[in-house]
Amino acid sequence: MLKRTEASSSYLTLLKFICLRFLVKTLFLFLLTTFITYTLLSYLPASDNEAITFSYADWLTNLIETQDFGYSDFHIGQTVISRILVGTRTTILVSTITLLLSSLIGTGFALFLYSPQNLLWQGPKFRMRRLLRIPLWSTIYVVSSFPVYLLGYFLFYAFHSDVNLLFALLCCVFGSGLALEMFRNVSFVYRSELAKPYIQNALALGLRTTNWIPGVGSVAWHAFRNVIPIILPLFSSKLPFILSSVFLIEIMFEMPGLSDSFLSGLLNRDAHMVLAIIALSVLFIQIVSFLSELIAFLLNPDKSSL
Amino acid sequence: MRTSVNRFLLSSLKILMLFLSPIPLSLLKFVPDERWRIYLYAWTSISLLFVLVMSSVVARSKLVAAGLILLYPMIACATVASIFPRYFSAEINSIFFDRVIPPNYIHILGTDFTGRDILHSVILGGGNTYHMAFYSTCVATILGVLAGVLLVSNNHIVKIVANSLVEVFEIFPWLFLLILVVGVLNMRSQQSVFFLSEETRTAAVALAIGLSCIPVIARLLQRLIESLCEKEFVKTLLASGVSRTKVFVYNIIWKNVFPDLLMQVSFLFGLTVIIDSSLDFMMEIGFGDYGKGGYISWGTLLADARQSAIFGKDLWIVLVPGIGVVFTILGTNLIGEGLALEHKVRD
Repeated sequence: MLKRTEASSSYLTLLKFICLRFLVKTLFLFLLTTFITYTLLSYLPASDNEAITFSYADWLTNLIETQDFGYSDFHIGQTVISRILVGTRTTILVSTITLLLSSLIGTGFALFLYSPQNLLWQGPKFRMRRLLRIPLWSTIYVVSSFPVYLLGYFLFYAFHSDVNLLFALLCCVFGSGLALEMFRNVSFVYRSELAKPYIQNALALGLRTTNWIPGVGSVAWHAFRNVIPIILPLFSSKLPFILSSVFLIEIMFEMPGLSDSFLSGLLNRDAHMVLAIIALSVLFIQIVSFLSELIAFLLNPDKSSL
Repeated sequence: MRTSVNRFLLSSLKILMLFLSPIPLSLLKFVPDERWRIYLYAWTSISLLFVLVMSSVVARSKLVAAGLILLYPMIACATVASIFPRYFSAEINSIFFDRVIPPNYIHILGTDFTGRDILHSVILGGGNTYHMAFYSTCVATILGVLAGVLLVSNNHIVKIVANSLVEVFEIFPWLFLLILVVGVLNMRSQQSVFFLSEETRTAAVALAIGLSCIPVIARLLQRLIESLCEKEFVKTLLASGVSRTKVFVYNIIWKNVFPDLLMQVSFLFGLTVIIDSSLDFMMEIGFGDYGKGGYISWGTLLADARQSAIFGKDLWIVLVPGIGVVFTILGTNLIGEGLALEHKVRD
């Protein structure tokens, strides 16, 4: 009983630590990234050689006092939030779906190609997997060698359609090697886990192996469960890269995302707009990163030992 | 075990040779006689490619050999324009009706919408893309190694500062940062013609791309050094009185981290090509008059050629720069993957 109380106490302490670290880190990164953006924007030329008419401290004070990103410098009388609300929703939606899809594809490929299989059983499924390995591996490598915009061209050319969410998602997932990067990360972690002594012991003792996907209770399933806490933060760390790809895709497919507001904000010297977009992006990345860390912590099998 | 270690070091040296091969090729421009220059260029490129591919075949690394075959011709083509500048120009044909010409005897790859010869544009653009990727990779590697070493420092303040800097570049979406940097530079140079030269702009953009890639190298180094410091052999060396600096520089960095670093650098080179071409593409499309102006790279060529790709008309315009980008990325990915496989064999 005493042991259980101690365990739950240390468990809560660790949870509190994760939350506190998230808050401090987010605040620090928010301030630093917006300050870098402000410094870069202050070099923007304007007709009277003064593009930004407010100081960074003013912007920050206004943000704290009103909890708002202020008024647009270009669209007079309109708040920045009202201008970018729809765009933010689209960008967040596309980025999240891209993150989930590329993680699923990368994980699926890694599990399919590297899960331990019953080498004694030379059935058709085993032969099929052996046959599929090289074409699958080659396909993911070749498709991932296309940059996002080039893949977009191909889809335009193949289907003659310029506004299509599915095409945009496909470009984001496969373009610039995102799915490949996920596949590489997962396969590296997964193979390292499979090489551990407990897996080798389990295989030697005859624990069930798998055919297509790791079935519950098989060796691969145990390894995969232990891999999840490691790969979840890895996935979320790719979010800045995903946001950049989504940015490109929004321009190519003329989607109503943040990219249009960002470019027009920069061209029209709308510093409030640019600062708000950077701040929102950083917050979004930090929140996803925190959630992934939290899920990884909750799924971690070692937490019961705390 | 010993053979596989040597094989891996051989491959690493080979990759180093590949990335440094443009240097002897570029030095050929100092040969005064042009005929000799052409012969020497052809001989050096072919022999370098032969040595690199044959050494991969001997080392039984098919992936590295395939990557080299894809990548090396691109690198060789990219250096041609700097050695024989008078043969390559991106002049715009002023006669409007003569602009888009399909491949023929005079224009081997045809001409684009502005009347430029595609072969010349692709070679000049490839040169610029490779130069930018090379500089960016160098910046990212040097600063990344420095940051990675600081991340494992015993001094907590140094560690916190290094970690904060790496985290900022980790979280800042690279395209936002690069567009901010390039946008501000371009807009300033539009306002004042004398504000910045082409070389300064190239250096600034390479620095920005390199900075956004720092976390890739720094985090790898941090992870490797931290895991190596826990190994028995390091503890034994330190206990037997070998100086900490020697153990860190020779046993950890040179003997154990360097091969992984080189593998990551080959992936990074492909990533910087993607970033640079995407940035140029974005600037050309999204920035209009503030775009790159007369600057040619594969990204700008592909952005110019978007009409032909979308409408499926005059596809030769988009084909060659597209193949250049894809082959480069595929080549670097294959080389990196080949090295990773050899590394796995070694482990």
